[in-house]
Amino acid sequence: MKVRIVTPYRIAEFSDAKLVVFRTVEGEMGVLDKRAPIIAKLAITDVRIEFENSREVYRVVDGFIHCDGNSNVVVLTEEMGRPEEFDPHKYLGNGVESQQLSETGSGTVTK
Amino acid sequence: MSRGKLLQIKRRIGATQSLKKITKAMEMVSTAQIRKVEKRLGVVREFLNETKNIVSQVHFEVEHPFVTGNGQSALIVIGTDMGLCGSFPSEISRAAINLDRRENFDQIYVVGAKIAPSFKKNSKVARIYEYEYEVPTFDFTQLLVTDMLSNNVAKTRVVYGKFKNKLAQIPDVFTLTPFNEQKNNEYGDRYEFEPVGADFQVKLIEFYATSVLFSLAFETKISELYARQNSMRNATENAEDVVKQLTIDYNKVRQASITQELIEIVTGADALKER
Repeated sequence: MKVRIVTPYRIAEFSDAKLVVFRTVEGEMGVLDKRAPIIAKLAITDVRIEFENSREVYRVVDGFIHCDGNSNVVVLTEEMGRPEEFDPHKYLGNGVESQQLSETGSGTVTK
Repeated sequence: MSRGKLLQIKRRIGATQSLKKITKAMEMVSTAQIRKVEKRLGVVREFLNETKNIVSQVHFEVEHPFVTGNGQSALIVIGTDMGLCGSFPSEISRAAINLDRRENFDQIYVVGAKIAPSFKKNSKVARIYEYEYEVPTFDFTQLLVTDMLSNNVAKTRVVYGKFKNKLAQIPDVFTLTPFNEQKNNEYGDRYEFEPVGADFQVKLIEFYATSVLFSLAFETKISELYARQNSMRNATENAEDVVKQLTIDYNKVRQASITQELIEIVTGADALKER
């Protein structure tokens, strides 16, 4: 199965994937090879791509997943990255404020 | 007198040469920017293609202004924040003003500080976005779509700088909404959609509008950079010509003054001989 994560800034491609797991706005689901066509709205989720002996995990922000029924899965999203690259404060409100707070050593982040 | 003229020409040559250095530097800056931005153009095009692929599988039945076209009409003008790119920004604003005269839009959204003065006195302007981005961002186009939706915009046309080729960038008009569905998909019926219901289609059509606007803004940016490169190259070439002409003038005046001095010396010497 061929998996592509497409954002306005970069594209990541994977071939020979066995399983793709992600969370849509209605709940978690997995896609196997030759799955019937589906288009689903994604939540802010980790997309887990399982290969024969390994796995890759990418966090995506919003967007859609498109499985065309011919072993092609496209994840269309605004932003992607490794889960550890994401700053959770960005999604809690003012990212600049939270950065300043963390720099000054104050631990609390207010929305 | 000729000494003063010589100095004057010399000063002009110096000024033109430093001007040439500035325009040459600006040309090189825009070349470097083009290289950086052009790499991303392929990604942006791919992103838009994938969005279109998804949208082409969906039969839109939702009551959304972008689908039904029931609401206000708007013109979005995507221009530039910076000048020094020839007539590119003014051509865009002229095309937008002409289009508005023909179609009389309810609202106008202006992107770019350089074209903003042409619309400042226009009462239909809903919002002007100045210095929003160096390179277009998806966040910005989301903001634009949110503003349009909150102002009940349904019919949208976009004036942007089309990138025809490296030497030609022309203003073009794109009809963004109401969304024109292409009734050619035979596979769309096989698809499952999640979530089932109107919410999915609403989010998808807004995502589509955002993606298209993003790619148009990106294309305008590339056109702007190429327009700047071209105009700076022309300015450098013109400066070279001016320096060449001024050098010829300088040499002529210098030669004239030398000849004049020689004549004076020779005449003086002759006068002394005659005594």
